[in-house]
Amino acid sequence: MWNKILSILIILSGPLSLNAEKLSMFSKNALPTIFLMQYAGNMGLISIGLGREFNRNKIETFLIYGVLPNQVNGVGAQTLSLKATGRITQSLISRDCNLKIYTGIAVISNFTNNVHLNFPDYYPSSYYDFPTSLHAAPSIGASITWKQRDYIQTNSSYTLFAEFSTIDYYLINLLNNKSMKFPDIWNLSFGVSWKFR
Amino acid sequence: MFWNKSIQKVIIYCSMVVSIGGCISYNLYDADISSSNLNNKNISRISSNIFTKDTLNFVIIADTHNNYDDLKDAIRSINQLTDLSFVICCGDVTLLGAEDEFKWYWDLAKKSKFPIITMIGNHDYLGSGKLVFNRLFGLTSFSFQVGEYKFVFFDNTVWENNNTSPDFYWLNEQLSGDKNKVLFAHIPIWSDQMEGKYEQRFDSILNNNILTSVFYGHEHSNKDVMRNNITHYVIGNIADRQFAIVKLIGSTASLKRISF
Repeated sequence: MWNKILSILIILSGPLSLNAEKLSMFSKNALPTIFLMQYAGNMGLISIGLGREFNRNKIETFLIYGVLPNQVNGVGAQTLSLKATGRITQSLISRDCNLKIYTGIAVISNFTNNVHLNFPDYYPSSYYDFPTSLHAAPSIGASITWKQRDYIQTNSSYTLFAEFSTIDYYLINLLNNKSMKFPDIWNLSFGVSWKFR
Repeated sequence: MFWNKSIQKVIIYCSMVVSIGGCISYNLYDADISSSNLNNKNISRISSNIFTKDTLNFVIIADTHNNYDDLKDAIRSINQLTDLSFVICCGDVTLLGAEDEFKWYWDLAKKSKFPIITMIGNHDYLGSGKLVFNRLFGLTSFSFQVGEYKFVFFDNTVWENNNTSPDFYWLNEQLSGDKNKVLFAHIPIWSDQMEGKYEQRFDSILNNNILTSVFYGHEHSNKDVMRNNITHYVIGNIADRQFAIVKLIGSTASLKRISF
């Protein structure tokens, strides 16, 4: 009797252990490999994020949390963003250092006073036909990456980056108004990132 | 050596980028703007300009939103007029209440050769728009006098102001007295935001006070309505490429719409 039960349990646990292996592979591929810290750029005074790279470092994705303290300009804001960047070009500056030009887009969710994804019930439906809290933010940037001395073992490196970004709505304004100039809609941000594995 | 040159290049490029771009934005809804009190500054220009005149001409534009080309053309067209005392913008100078939008509006509006007074609209409340408006232009409800006329600007936004009541007590106070009074409010009395108790309160104040005219924006179309024995004018949005010239003579007002 007990032998039969044990046999059934072993048979049943087979797929489970296979799934655990898949889960382990998935978590290995999905776990973040990059830590990022950014100054300005519509996400807050300071924002921090975790991300990872794909397709031989050509694509990077990040989940970023940003904060603008109320003490800075009297407006407290927090943001949560999903950002993806794609490499345009890359060139070696030295053996351990390279320069990369990239473009990206972030979807920024703003949590601050009087902005909404869904407007409160006292507004008639479709009074505002766009959310004021959610915006897409295209960007173009440059980064310099230094590989650590033990890069071959650790795969770790440091990166400094600077980028220009804007907001979807500003781009629409630029397209609809000849009087707006291209530099009017862009703003600058800086940051550092650390690839730790 | 190569390394040093590379670093130098990077520093030079970064400096160029900063000087060309020049701007840092922490958040779309930030209020990184110093106190300018532009409405008071422009009001002081009006008073010194026309204090002795017994008739008064002024222009009203409304709902400029993100129609910057139309605003630019409107200001150019207004600048060709003569014998104007001032220009009123009847609210909604933004779409999202973002600080950049206020700056872009003012960059064009300030080219008016006549003093320009800006009032708040419901869109300007979104985000931290009210704070930006306060810092850039001043109070959202205000009044000033020119000769025998009193111009009252009543902030009557309800929903975007956290669904709170406009300050009708302030309005009632401002509309008492002997001067010829001209009222500006962004949202018409019959509009959905005013519906119910606010409309009744607004009506009773207008019935109890003598006014020359009431001017609104908000509806994006021109309208003239007789109500409370007063003509209520709605000024269409700037995208319709029109503005209104108002002529005040004694206690009467006449309005002419001009296409540009």
